[in-house]
Amino acid sequence: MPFGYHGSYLRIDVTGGGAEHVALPETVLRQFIGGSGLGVRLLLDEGAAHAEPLAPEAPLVFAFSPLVGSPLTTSAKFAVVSKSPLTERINDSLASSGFAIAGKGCGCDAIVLVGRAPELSVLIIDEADSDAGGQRTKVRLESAAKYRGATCRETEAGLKAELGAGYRVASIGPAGENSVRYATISHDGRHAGRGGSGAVLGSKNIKAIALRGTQRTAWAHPTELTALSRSLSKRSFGPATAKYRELGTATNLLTFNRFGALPTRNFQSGTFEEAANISPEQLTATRSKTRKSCMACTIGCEHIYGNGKTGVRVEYESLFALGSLCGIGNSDAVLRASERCDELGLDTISTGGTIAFAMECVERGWLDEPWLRFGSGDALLRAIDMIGAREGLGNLLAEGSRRAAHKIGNNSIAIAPQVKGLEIPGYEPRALQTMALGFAVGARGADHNRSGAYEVDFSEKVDRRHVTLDAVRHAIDTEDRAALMDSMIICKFLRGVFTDFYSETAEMLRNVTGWDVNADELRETAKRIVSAKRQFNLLAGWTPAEDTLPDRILSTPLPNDSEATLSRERLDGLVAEYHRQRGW
Amino acid sequence: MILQHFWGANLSLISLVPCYHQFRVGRMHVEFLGVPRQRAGVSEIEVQADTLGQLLGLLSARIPSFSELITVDRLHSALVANLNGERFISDPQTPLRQNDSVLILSADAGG
Repeated sequence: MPFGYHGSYLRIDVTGGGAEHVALPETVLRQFIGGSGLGVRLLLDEGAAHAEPLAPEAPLVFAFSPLVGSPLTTSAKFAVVSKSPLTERINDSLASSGFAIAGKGCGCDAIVLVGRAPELSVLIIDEADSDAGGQRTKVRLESAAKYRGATCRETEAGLKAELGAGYRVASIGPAGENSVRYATISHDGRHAGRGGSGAVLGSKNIKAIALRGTQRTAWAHPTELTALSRSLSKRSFGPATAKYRELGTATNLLTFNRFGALPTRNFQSGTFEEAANISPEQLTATRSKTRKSCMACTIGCEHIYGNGKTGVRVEYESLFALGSLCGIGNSDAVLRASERCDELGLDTISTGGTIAFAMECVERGWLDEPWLRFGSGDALLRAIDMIGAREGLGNLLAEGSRRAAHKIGNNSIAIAPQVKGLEIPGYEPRALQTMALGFAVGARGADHNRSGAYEVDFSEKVDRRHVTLDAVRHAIDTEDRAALMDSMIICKFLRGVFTDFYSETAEMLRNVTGWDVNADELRETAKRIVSAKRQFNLLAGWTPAEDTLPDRILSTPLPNDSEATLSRERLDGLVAEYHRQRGW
Repeated sequence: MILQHFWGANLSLISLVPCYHQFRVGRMHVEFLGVPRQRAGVSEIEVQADTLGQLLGLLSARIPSFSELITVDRLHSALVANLNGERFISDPQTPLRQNDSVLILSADAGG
């Protein structure tokens, strides 16, 4: 077995609580590494593409990586991989911190859950109670009845108090219990956010997973790894990460507004007249602020703003989705909405996208909910609570904008802000057209974490509002890099510090595993992982017609920027070229 | 958005330009976004420069907190410049015209 791995995954059937270690061949580990890549491979092996996402037999994978537990900055990460209940396609969402270290410390490289517990339960995995050989990790289920309806934070705090501080807890909020199709899994204040992994865990009647484990894996070249880690940490303090350290991702807000790329009022505009009110520059001027890091991270991107008695972690995607996209410029309302999504365990992007879509449907007279208006913070907060509880209109909106549009009719699907069912993040596709391609072809739907094509739009490589086929190779490159980073796993906020990405990541992997891996091999690995996601989607029923954008984007120019138009014909050409270059 | 004008810098920058240039160089806006704005302490200034390289040299000389972000006449790779919100530019010889807006922002647009 290579260094950096345990060489097995823990497969748990929560129906009865049975668990077994299943060997992972070294060839599989070298081909898929860990994280998203390993998770997709395990799902393919389990035949998950054919399962109904919320059925007991649908597997849910928590995948770690060879880098977890190493001194490499940002490496304490895990991927949650399943078939998405929102898109019915592959879904991999990532989160950080101690859960990754404790999970790998349980003596496995991944945990695969199947089945359905007889009652709402906490799954407890305790390496300390296992047998001496580490072959039988102790797994048990305990009733979670007292945590029913509890927020993510309450559940995590309660279980740590109950079980002991040595445990690390990932949990779902009420949204996950109620099968909201974009419910999250939360750990340490962060979320495996997109695509509804929280609903999958909830469908298994698992409110939380509590882990305790301290098994470590050895490194092949510890001296070299330590030196490399020091170098990487030092570089992570430099200008390449200053944006995340000093202002956080929220600083995108005014920048994107300046470029007409800030989605506003359900993608009816690319500029928001009240953007300054909810910008981090304004929040900093009027509120207390603290910073926080994930475990084993030297960047510290979390900026937490005071909001009454509590602090709210503010990210660009939450500000955009719950602010400009819903036409809301009241920072109190936007911060409270973000906090409420965290409590309920809701993906802020899909929440904001679905509510903004409903607001426009009300405006157009397609939905008889007159209280739900653009610009109303009270309406936003009311809608969020209704979604979390699946009450009234919330039961419809809990399905996401695509399913809601099919029920509302009136061809409202044309204005539903989604690709493959996943709501579009805060990058206006008409103003950022390489990103538009990235959204259209994304395996998990419209996504800014699996395609970093926006980087290309903010460069000299393309004319962002008139992209040509030359943009395709750049979009593919960002997608490949993301696939590798999500499998290694390292934080994407580090990407600016690399001068030779594939060579430097190969060096990391060599020092941890002892493999003679080089840049060319990792380029192939990245493509293999992207192809595996496509393979999953093909098995799940993907058709070429899914690789597109909503009609609105392809038929209506942005109101204040006549240059920002993207015709269906041009997008289709880009998508066809993407498929050709992929060899698909 | 409140636009602050760095008039003191502007006057000093003009004085850095060779006299014969003063008959033909354009007067343009520099907008700072995100981290560059935080470093500059203002959202916008006006300068006079013939080229992007000349403009960056002036900024480096006049705003001390920018010095680590500019090497002679080029931006650090963590930053990018954009002309009039339309195209991104890096060649120091890129000509600038009167009333142009040069935007300076973080290269990493991720979120």
